Amino acid sequence: MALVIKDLKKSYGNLKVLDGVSFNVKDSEFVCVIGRSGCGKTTLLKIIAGIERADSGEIIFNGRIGFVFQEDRLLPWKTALENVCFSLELLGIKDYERAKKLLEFVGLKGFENYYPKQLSTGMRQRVAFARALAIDPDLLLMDEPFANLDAQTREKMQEELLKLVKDKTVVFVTHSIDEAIYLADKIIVLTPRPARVLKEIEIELEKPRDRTSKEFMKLKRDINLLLSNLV
Amino acid sequence: MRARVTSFLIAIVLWCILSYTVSVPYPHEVFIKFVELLIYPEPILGKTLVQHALSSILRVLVASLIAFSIAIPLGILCGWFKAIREVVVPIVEVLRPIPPIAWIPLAYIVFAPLPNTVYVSQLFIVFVGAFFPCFVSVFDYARNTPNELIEMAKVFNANDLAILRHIVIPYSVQGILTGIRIGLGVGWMCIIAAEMLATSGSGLGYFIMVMYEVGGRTTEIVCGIAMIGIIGYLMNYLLLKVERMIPWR
Repeated sequence: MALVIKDLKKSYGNLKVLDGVSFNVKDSEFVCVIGRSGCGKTTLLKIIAGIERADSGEIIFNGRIGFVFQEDRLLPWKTALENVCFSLELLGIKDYERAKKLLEFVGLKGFENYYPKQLSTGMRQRVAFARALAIDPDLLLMDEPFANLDAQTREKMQEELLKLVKDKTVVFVTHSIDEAIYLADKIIVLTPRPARVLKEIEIELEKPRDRTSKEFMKLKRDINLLLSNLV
Repeated sequence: MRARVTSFLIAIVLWCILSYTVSVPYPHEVFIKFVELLIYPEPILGKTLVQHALSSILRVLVASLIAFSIAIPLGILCGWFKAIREVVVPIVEVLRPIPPIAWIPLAYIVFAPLPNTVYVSQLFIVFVGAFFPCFVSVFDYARNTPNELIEMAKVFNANDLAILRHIVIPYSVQGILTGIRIGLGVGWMCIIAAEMLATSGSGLGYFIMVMYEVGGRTTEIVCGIAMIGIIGYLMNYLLLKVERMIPWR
């Protein structure tokens, strides 16, 4: 088991955010966590990443974590290449060759010396990907990374993401049902705040998935129903 | 461009009205005198306007450099470390509103044992003038470093030193440049005032004061004032250019 989450609880003052969240993620599994906006998905990721502490509960995981935020969070004063290299530098490895390869890997060959402000939103998010992948993470955490993109770029990026993270263990937070079904091996549906796991759904359709197929549509309807029945 | 010409013409007209009514020399008189003083030494002090300007500039640069080399690191540390901020900022806030000129008499007494009391006191006044605006500007940027970027760095296991080096300091570059520009501007005002108050042998403030004391030589005085204005403007202009050179903005 790559990642085990046991009974996580977290409150901010009187605001209960997580109320006993538990689930498991297998090696090389792509797990999508969905739930309404503000239900505590981001808090959950931050706790897994170790930048927030849970009030109680346990996380069992050993290895390196890569993180992609909703916003690109690139450093404006570093070029695309330097931004990718940043995560490596923090590990004490200043490997520009590897950073270069990763930029190429995410389709940004030739943009090494561009500053973030010179790149489009989609391109910046690719740089942020490359930065997370550069450290060769054992677990990739993604917090609605496509939320700020237009619909077309979004679908294209989803397609590419699956190719890029083929054998990686991924926890991907989103509020888009469509996105979750397209990407996930397993979907964790959270209740509105305070979050608990409402349901785990294994998606067995073969990738790449056809968004217009009957099974896809059925899943979408089911999950939609599940979420809209919640108070 | 047209607006500039208009504003220049209006300024000249206003100046002429002023000259007509009170004892201020006319623009053309000042202009001729100004050019003359640039080339030939003024007989009483034996220095050209350029030489006076250079000694003022040199004093400002020396004192400001000392001020900045303390204000910049201190501003960044205060922005980043709460413990340092809580000790330093209250002290700064008490000292900051005191006009630098108010320190002059005390400076003379404190620096009296030194052989060059006047010079050191002048440097001290400029130091006080340049320090606070620079500190405040740097501190303000450093403290407002976007939390999202710090959080991102933490996710990738950055320690405090790495966050300081890769995030807080680069983010504060803008504040550092603005702080230097404003600090130099204030320092420039301070040196003129400080030079007026003591015999320093040279400097634009000293020049103006001597021209006053030998019998109200208004044309020379206005030339000195004009030089102060021109240099102040150029310093600000050049530093604004430098600020715009930041490639990632």
